[in-house]
Amino acid sequence: MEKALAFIKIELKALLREPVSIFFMVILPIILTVVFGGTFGDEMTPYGENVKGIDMVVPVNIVFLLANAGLMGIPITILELKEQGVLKRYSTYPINLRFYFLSLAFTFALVSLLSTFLFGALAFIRYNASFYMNFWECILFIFAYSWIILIFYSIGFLFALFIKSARTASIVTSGFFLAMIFTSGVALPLDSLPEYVQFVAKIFPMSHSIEFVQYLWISELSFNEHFAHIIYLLVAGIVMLIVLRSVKIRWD
Amino acid sequence: MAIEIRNLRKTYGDKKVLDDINIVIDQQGVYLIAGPNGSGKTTLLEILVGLRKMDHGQVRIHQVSSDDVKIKKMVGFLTQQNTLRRNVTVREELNHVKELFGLKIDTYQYLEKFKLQEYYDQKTKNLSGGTKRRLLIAMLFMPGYEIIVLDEPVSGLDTYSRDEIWNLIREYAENHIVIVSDHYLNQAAQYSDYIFLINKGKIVLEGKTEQILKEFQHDYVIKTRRKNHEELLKMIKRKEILRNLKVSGSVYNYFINREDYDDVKCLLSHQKFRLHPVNLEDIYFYHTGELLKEVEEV
Repeated sequence: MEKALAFIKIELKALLREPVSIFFMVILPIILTVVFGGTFGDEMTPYGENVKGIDMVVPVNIVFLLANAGLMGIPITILELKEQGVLKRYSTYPINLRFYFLSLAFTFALVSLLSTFLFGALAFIRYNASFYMNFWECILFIFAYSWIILIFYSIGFLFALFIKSARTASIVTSGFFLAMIFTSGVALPLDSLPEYVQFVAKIFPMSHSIEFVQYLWISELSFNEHFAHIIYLLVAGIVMLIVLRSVKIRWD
Repeated sequence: MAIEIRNLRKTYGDKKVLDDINIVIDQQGVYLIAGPNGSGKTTLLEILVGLRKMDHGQVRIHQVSSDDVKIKKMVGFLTQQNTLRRNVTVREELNHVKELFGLKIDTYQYLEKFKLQEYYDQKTKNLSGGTKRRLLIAMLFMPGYEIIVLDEPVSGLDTYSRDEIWNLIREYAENHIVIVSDHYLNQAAQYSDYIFLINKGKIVLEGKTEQILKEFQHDYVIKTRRKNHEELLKMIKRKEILRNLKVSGSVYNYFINREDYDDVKCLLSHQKFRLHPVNLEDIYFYHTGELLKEVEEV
């Protein structure tokens, strides 16, 4: 436990001192809340009685944040540490490198949580967002939050294993992240996109995560109606766990 | 035996990097692994500390195989690269090691002997190359590993920084086993107890520094450029000096014996020729035909 704390402490300091990471993980979600909250935060939505625009902004923002941290933050950080030789140094310490990566993921999760509290508080205080979830839905939300972290962080970790440099990772993961945004149904309605794009959207975890968290957030999640999203997310998370257990982790 | 390497072989694709390496170390001191770039030093050290797998052979430290995680508690490793985190301070790096190893030391006090206290609250990215190296060595010494392995710890540093680092290494070696690789052979040899000369993945010569120098068949070397070679050769022939010629590019090296020294000492006053007692780099060159560093101006 002390070793985990030692790694989390140093990763947290390094992450909080990295302006680009802080922009994408903390500042950007706040900007999105202010822009969308100010533009249509007060407008009624077709999602339910009294459900306003800001109530849909918060869950979308949460998934964007977790996807961004996982798909871009994790691989770029790991590859930079690899290029600097830090992973090689850590490999000579009496710890398992897998344990170090878990600490790194925990650090990113911690900052994601902090960011969620910040833009969440802004949505409630400034834009009068409503809270709809009951106790059990809150528990499910915490589980879903962690599960989505598992999926996106794992994909990011796999990127780090197969991409050679931080520079390449930056290009590849940005492209992947943009593709996910445009097929998530948030930037453009999915129905308006060509059929093959809709098919691709269903392969990516972004659209499923957004749908699931949105409906859960406004207390409208139904097992029958959202069965496909629930199954997709469960299977994706389990597959990631299996893949992570089987990949060989090396410093180089 | 503290360290035992038997019949170690390693290839990268078709290239043989290490070929039947045998090393046994059982006493404290500084053990130098010297050879030019690409001779297999780094691969050897990385296999020793468990960072790389070998193709064949056996590497054991206190009877524990090098791929066993247990050796990471016994052996510390300093890589060639400066592997400090960029966005953290010296204090944070040291405290990180302290917490990972559960040490009870005052990290500020600890830095005194490394002359690094003034940098305690500075970010590591602002330190000079030599200071970064000293800090990494301070971090390496912190857990008190029984064996430490340093891969070219003074590479790229100025002479003063190199001496400072060698002194720190020498001091640690009083109670520990220290294995160091380097290609500044003559300087490294001053601080080493035992030397392994490696070339193209093979150990070509090993022994104590004095013993290697003493047992070498020649005592002096005369160096000259190709354009001055004829002149030198005429003189050597005229005086019937027994010699052994080794050529590296445009540099001609005549290895001669002590009894012929008087006949050639007049060369000391010539700018075109360099006459000096044989040193380890000359011996390395004699055995391998390869120079460990750029040829000094003749």
